[in-house]
Amino acid sequence: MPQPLLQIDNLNVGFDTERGQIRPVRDLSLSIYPGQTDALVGESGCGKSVSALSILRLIPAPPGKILGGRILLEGRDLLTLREREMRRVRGRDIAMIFQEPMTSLNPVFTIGDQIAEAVILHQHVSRRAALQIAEQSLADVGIADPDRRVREYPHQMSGGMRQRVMIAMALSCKPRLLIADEPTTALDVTIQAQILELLRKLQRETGMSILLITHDLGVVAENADVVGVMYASRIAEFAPVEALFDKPKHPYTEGLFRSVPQLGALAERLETIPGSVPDPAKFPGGCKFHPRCPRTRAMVTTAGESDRMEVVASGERATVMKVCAGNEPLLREVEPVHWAQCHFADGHAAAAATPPQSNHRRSQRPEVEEAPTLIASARQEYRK
Amino acid sequence: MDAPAKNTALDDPIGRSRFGELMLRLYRRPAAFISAIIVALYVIVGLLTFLPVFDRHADLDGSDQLKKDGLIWQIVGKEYAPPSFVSSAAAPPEDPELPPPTGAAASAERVPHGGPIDLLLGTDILGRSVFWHVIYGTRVALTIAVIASALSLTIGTVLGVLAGYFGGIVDAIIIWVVNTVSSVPWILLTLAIIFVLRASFQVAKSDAQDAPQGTTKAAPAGDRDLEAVILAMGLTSWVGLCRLVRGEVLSIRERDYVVAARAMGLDTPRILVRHILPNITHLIIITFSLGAVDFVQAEVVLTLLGLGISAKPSWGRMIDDAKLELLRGVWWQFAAATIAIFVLCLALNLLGDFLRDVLDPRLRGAD
Repeated sequence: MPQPLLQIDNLNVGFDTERGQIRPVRDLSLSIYPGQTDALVGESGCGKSVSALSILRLIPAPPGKILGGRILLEGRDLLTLREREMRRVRGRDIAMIFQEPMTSLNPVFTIGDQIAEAVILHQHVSRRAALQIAEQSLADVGIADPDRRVREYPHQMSGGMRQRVMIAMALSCKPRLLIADEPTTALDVTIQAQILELLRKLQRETGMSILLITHDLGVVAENADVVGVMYASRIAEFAPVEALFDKPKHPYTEGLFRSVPQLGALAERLETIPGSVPDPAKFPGGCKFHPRCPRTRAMVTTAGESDRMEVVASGERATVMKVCAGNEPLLREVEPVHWAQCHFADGHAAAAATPPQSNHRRSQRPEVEEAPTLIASARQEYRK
Repeated sequence: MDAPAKNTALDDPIGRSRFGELMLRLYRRPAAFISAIIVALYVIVGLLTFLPVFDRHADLDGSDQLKKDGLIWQIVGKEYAPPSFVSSAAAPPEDPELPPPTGAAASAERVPHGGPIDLLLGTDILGRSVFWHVIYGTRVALTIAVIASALSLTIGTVLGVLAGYFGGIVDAIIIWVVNTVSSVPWILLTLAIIFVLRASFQVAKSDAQDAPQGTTKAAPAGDRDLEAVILAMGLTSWVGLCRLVRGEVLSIRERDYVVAARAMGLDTPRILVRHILPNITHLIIITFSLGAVDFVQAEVVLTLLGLGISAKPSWGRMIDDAKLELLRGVWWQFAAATIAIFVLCLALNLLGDFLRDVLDPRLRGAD
């Protein structure tokens, strides 16, 4: 089995606030193999972005601080590096693209200057050579007229083009890991498909790994090799993408899938997960999902009196399993290469709490032309 | 791509620089355009006084050098000659009630030998040219405005950026200094600094005179006055910009492009210089053009209080000198200095408003 490119061990991140310390990332373990696409999926505030920023040690400190854990890039612990050494990792080994292409480029510099800045820094070339590399990167991400565009300012470009520029900038130094923090959220659907297709193409060409952070299950289904579902600062479920979509083990994952609108399905209203994401400042005790969990509510009907208890969830009284409200379950390998964090996931009681890792690759990637075609047919379907 | 491709791209309108765009917008706003021309004229006039041909009018100090052949301090006509464009009939009548003027010029063989330009704006109590006073006053006013601004903008920007970017204890200390400085009335603080500076210059001067001859030439008192005024104004006027810059940097440092720059591995100095500073230059430019007005006016106030420029013909000094002469109906010296100040300040204000409209992102479109 090959060595993971990046291995996160038990990462814990805290933020000191006026209401006490909050924990946006708890006991996060994750491995990313060379050439693999790992997706982290979850609702807003579940800790996805903080995890990503922690890898680059970019969480604002204070108030944020890394409480413990290791982040190994090819065996080298990034958390023990000096700031100087860390700066060499940023941009060169690990690059990042952000959610908002409209604000991620400095408005006062030309596109070329901004890409060249990082190239000069990491590759120690002249400005002239760096601008040529910038031009080449723009061509690589499919921007027409790169020789003209390098001289333009960000405000002269559309959102999709700016995101391409961001990708060009991130890839100009040929990083081995690209962290893409919701790269398509701010873009409209057709542009989303183009950007994701571009990322897949560049990944095939360069062999880089991608940590894809998103809340869009469609994006996960089409791009990820392995998926970690985050809920309330922890990974609730981790599995290869097909296994996760086939047989979700965690009630939260099931709830996510049920709340995705489906083409052709006639539904009065979309299913939702009741309640809302808990505030990190006041997480519930026990399993963080139990106040919203349909599975624990189902379990109580067959459980003995001593195993259940009454709780108040989202202002309503509910009966849940005592173990759910009392103990936070560990992330365990409930099936081979399938981890879940639920007392009542099949096989959880007997499974081992190993750190989730898998060098799985999705069996088939959608063909390059497929995504736009899918969308076109979906549109026709919708019009009927 | 090779070099020729780049050269043709220079003419591409899409790549037009911010400066080019600024010039285009200036051209489209007549009031601002005229203001810019007026300010430029003042600057040219001020710079021209450094030329040797003008320097002989300027390089003069009170008593000692009165006899030197310079036009500013030279008597060019009879005392209180009205401006040459005013007919002599409109000249104030000799008033027997008032004591006759008692200048050096009044005493004896007065030879009015000034040309039409010298007499254009009339003469003062000693029969000296008001016109050359105004011209030389431009140089003094602009010197004060530019150097005091440079000082004040540098202090304000550096402290503001440091406070905003680093926050925490650095911010607390700088904000404490800002609050302390701004809680003392401006004029009191300025006066106090001028007193201190003058006292220390006096000490330095006497030290220099004690030193062996030929090593140091004691500077004329006038230069020291100018330095004291500039330093005092620069040291007291930076707090506004500092607050402004701090607030702006507080918001800029959280912007995605700053986080992105850090994610690309840039170090803090590079981020400050490349990503923060260029995004607050509009504040600096606006503060400069609007703040220069304050410096020009403050010189007048300080001179009226007796702490401004004493040995050089500045606008403040002209107004100070003229305030009693108004009783005699001698209005031209007062009017000349006031109009010179008024036109410059109006032009600077209009230009400053234009720059704010164009450069401040909050007043621009969403982009």
